[in-house]
Amino acid sequence: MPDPSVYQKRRAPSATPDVQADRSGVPYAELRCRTNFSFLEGASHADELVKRSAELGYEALAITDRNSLSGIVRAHAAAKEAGLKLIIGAELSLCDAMTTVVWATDRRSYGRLCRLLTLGRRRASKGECKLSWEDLADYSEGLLAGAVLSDPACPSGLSSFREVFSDRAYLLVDLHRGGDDSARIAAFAGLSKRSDLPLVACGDVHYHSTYRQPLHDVLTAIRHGVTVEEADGRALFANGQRHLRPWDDLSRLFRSYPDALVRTIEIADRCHFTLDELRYEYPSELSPDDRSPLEWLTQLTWEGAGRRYPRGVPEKVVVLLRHELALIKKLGYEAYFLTVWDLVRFARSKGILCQGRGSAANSAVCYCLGVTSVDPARSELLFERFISEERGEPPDIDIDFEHERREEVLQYLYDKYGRDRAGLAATVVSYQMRSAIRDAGTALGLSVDRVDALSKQVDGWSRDPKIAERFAEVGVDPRSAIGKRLLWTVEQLIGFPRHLSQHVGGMVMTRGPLCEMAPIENAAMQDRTVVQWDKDDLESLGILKVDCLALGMLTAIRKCFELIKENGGKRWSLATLPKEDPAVYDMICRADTIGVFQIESRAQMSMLPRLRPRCYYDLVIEVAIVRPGPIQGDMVHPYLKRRNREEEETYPNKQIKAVLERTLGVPIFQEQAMKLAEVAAGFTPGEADQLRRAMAAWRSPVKMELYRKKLIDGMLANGLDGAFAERCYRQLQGFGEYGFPESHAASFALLVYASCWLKHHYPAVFCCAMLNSQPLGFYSPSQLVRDARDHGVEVRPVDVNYSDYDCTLEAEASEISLRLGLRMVRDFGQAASKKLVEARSARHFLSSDDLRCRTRLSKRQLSSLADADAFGSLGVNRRQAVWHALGQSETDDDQPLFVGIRDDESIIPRLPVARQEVEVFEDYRSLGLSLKSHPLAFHREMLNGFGVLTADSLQQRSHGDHVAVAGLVLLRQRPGTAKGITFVTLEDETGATNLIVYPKTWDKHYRIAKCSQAWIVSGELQHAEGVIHLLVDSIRSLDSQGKAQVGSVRIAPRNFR
Amino acid sequence: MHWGDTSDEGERNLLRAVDSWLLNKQLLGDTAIAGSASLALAVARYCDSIGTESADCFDFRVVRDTASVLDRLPVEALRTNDKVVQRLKSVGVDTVGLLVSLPRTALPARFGTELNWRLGQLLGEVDEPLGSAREQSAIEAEFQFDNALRDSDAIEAATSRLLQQIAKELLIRRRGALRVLILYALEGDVHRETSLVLRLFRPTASCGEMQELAGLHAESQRFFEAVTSIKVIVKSTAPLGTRQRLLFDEACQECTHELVSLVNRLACRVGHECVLRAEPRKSVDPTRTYTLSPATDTPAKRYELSDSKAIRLRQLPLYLASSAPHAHVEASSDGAPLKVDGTCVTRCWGPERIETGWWRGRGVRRDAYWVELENGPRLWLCRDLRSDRWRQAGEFI
Repeated sequence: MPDPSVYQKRRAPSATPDVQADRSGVPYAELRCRTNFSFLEGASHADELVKRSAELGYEALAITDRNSLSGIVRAHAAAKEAGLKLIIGAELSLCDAMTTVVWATDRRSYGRLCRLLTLGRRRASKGECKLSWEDLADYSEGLLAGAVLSDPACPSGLSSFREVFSDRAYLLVDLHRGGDDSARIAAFAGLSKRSDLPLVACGDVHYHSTYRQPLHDVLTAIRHGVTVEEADGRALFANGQRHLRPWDDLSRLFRSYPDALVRTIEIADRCHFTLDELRYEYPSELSPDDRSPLEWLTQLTWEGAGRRYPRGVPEKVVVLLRHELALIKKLGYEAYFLTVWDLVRFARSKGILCQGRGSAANSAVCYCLGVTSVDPARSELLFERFISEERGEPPDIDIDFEHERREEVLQYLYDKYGRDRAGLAATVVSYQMRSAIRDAGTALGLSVDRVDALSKQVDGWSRDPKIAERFAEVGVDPRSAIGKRLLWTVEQLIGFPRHLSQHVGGMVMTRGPLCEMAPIENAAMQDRTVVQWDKDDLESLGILKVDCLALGMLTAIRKCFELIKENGGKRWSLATLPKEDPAVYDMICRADTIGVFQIESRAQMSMLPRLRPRCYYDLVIEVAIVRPGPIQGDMVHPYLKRRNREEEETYPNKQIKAVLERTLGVPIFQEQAMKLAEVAAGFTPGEADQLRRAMAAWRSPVKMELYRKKLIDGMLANGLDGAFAERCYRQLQGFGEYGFPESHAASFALLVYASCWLKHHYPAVFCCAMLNSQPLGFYSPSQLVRDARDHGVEVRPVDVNYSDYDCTLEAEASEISLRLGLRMVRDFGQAASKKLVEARSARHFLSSDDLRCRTRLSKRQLSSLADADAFGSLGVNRRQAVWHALGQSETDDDQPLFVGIRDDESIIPRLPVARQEVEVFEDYRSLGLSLKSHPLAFHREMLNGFGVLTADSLQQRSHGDHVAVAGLVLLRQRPGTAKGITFVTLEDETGATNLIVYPKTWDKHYRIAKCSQAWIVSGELQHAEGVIHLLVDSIRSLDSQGKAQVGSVRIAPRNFR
Repeated sequence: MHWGDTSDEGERNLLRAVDSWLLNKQLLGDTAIAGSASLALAVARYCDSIGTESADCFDFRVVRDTASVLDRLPVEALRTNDKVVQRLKSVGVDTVGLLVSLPRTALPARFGTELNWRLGQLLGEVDEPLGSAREQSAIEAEFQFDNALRDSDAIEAATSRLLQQIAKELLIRRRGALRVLILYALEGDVHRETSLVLRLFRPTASCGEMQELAGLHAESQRFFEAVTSIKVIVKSTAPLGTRQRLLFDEACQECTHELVSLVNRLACRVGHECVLRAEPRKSVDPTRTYTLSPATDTPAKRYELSDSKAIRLRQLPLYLASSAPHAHVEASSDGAPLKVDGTCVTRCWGPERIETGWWRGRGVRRDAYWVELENGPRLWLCRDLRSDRWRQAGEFI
């Protein structure tokens, strides 16, 4: 059962006047209606249109977005809930004929409509559709069609329209109180008679209620790239009549031609198709001809088991495999598992590191198929937790691939299944706060700089309760007329879909043609095609997608393995890494985890010394516990107390003990929360899942109260006390949206351990691989390099005679140093690096002239190398190199006579030598880091004068001291669960300082906090279990102290939520 | 003018005088004296960065030792583009002094050819002529009577002569008058005057046109007191328009001579504010689809309306009531008017619903009807959808 509530979470409360739902019904079906998936044309969500149609008592509603079926799944879910008949259709803009609205009568005609839209979309660029009359004629069978004419006096092509669609052809007429509606409908009636096309009334609906007209005007202005004032008289409608109108209005408008209204019912009655008819089937070609998919899966599984356990498959695993294979057979998921196996097999064959995770991935079957490395013999994960017969939802397996090579896997799928049978799921890109302000502000006529200032004043992605204050801060009075209009428009616009993008990796594959299930269109990226539905749409229709995700850490780990091997080390793999190495856990307990997978964030690092992981399962818990779910559910402290034996574990009964025992009686994983609802309150697995979704999607007070009552009543009926029941409910609430599944945590924990093991035993290799896999993770290259140097790794600068494109390792005796690669150099690029390295392969460069002659690099490329100070081995400093590079012609062909002429021998000595501070800033500008010093070091004297401490000296200060520190802002993080608190990391020349900024302080210093790159802060020092934080009460910008250069250092701070 | 006994003293005094002159004009300016205009401009602009050590601001604003000034003058003072400045700084050349120490031949390849040219200007090697902008003198003419007189013919004749003079001047400047003020000084102990303004629909340098308009004004002008002098001032001008250049140049955008003459004459007769010109404007609100403004205040360009727009405009009454009077209307259940102020409606079109303009303020929400009453009048009625009140927005004549 689709869950319509998932579509409601993004919308402002509807201001539609409450109309008593007219359940008696009116003899009218709206046949031409756009949702906001006709981007920048429709001004209402699908569910708003459906709800309003039901309230008005319409017989049916047709969703006819322009050249698109993107909005129909949401409308379908809403229509089911409202009990309204939904007609699926589209409005087709044809390049050589009149606009035509088509409606699908049955599954086959729906398939043809999808194919037609796919054809138009695939031959146009992203977001466009190119269709001709001939295309429509080719796919017309079974479709009903309505001709749209703006002026009945100029009909053209109606005869061929009648010829193609025969008795399925109609003439649409809409009336919007345009002054002479009687004449208009009379003209249409005459045309209808002459052309033998039955006249049908429609509303050309663009929004559900007239109150959305201003928003529609704004959207129209945005679409045309003009202001609303400029759009007046050109693109705006004269009135707000493009809404769903009550029967009284309709019957009055069409009183002279009532048949036009009655005919809407005729069309509605001819359309029988519903999206419920779509049947998803897995691709079937994965098993050999002589085997059924189940037989093939069974064979592959047992063969895999033999390889996984060469000394014999443990009895526990044998039992698990038999059980799981039986369940897979019963639920018919064998083809799905084979699809996943095929993907992993392909990746392995190409040397692409990958790992499965998700509800079904941590099964014994997946372990034996090689999809995951979580050994069922070592874990207690139960298959039923991941595949539920009752929940009836498809199994969930996400496969992470190396991020640099994931495209190969996607292209393999396109090749294997064809573009008609495979496509990426779409992602709906919706208006967020910043984009809404930008577009709405421009449309309302605000100046460019004002719009810019306003949009920079807010967070990009969320509703900001203090938006009015933000407006005032940049000089837009929220109480002024323009301020009020802008606020209202922005509020309405947030959550509106803006365009379709591609999902991060959700791939849909079908047995039959996918393009007959949903239209497929081109993505912006070359060679990518996407279906018009997003993951929620697919899920609600029960359509399988396999998430082929890109994971940077897998790239880094694979590169680690290769670097170790290339430098004479062992040949490691994820499966062969030594397990449960105490030294690695010691490192983890010290929170020495910069750069490793998952447990590198501020919150995770604060948790590590408290949780002190000592085994794999501790890592599984560590990964899952620092999540909003457990934090909001107040489960962290009870777990830590029980782990430290400060609190007794208690279980009300055996069933609950079985669910919670492995996490010391505290639910930490999403599966535990759901299971608890089952065993404690008597929920069925399906109900438990509905509970989770209800909590996740839309915290409707009425719905939540129903679930709360059912849960607590169930627990009381099972003999549990009221306090326990209330606590459980609170914990479950926390899990709704943010709980982390054990199935994912188990796979992640493997990568956590692997990355920690590599960092501990091969710090230079680890840092090198991380730098070569950028961008990934929490930390910038400068922090990774700094951390490596703190661990005794010698890091050498970029040099034209020693650096490759990637960072490399240089072995001398037993020492391994890290050489920064040319990839770090701004604006240099891989192709130029390749040229340089090839030219160098014969012998080292002897001079900058020698380098230029042999590499034939351009002036710009030479300048980039010079800016990076990469000529050190040639005895040429940065300024000299820049002078030399600037003297080159753009190409040798420009000035052939002067090639090789040197004019700088006498000049170069005259160039002033740069101060160390300037060198450091130039390093940051070109490389994003400096091995020479830290920008703050040059201002220490001034900072000392202000009483500002260094980061490392904070260790010697006491808890509660009021201190000041300064540094570059490395990251700002504001988790959704932190009640507006922002966590900031500052870096100075001695290390990093963790700051806690409460909302009051943040707001007080808003502009500096948001925009400045270098801060001086003061506040109260907090020491807790070896972790130091500064509770900030004041923020100043270092720029304001006359150190503007510090603020301009190129560090690209990372801001997270 | 004597500025001082020494050149140093003289230049300082000159600067002081200029500063003080600017101040008197309520202007603030940076001033400097140097061997070249470019250097003076650079010193004036960057005096803060080069003169901080000096107690007397004139020490550095009068450049004596060019080399020492160049050593402190930032490269930005060369007035070259930001990219070149950045490149210079990237090799450590951040003052003009440092740049001057490098061989000029090495610079164009690295920093473009403009740099040496700018450097030459700064060092006085390349001329940098300074142009002066001079305000155009007013076009005016005056006639003093030997004896004050009231004779209208004599006054008109004198006015005509003055108009001939300004017409000549206009032709020399290739401009046409749009507005001409004629001032008549009246006899008496206290200075008093009376005036008239000639407004022209199209810029003109034609003495005849102006004289004709002045004559029309004079017909209604009575001088009850003697006039001592007449002054004619051209208050507003525009470039003279071109007449039809080709024999069959139908695309000529100028209005016809006859129309211009008609507008000018009408404006004289009934007042310029009564001769209006409709300008099309885009809006879904019919009352905003054109604007009316005095014809003599708007450019005399022709425009054409498309058929649909012309039809649309014809649907509106010629005169819209500026504050439409309320009307008592009895309407049918679907809103159509049946009686207006007790008179039966015989024909009715509508409604045309207009809901727009919310971004300008309160916005418009109304239904408009075209009705014909049984006693003849044809009205444009509007019903405000917020208040449900009827107004008679216009009448077709």
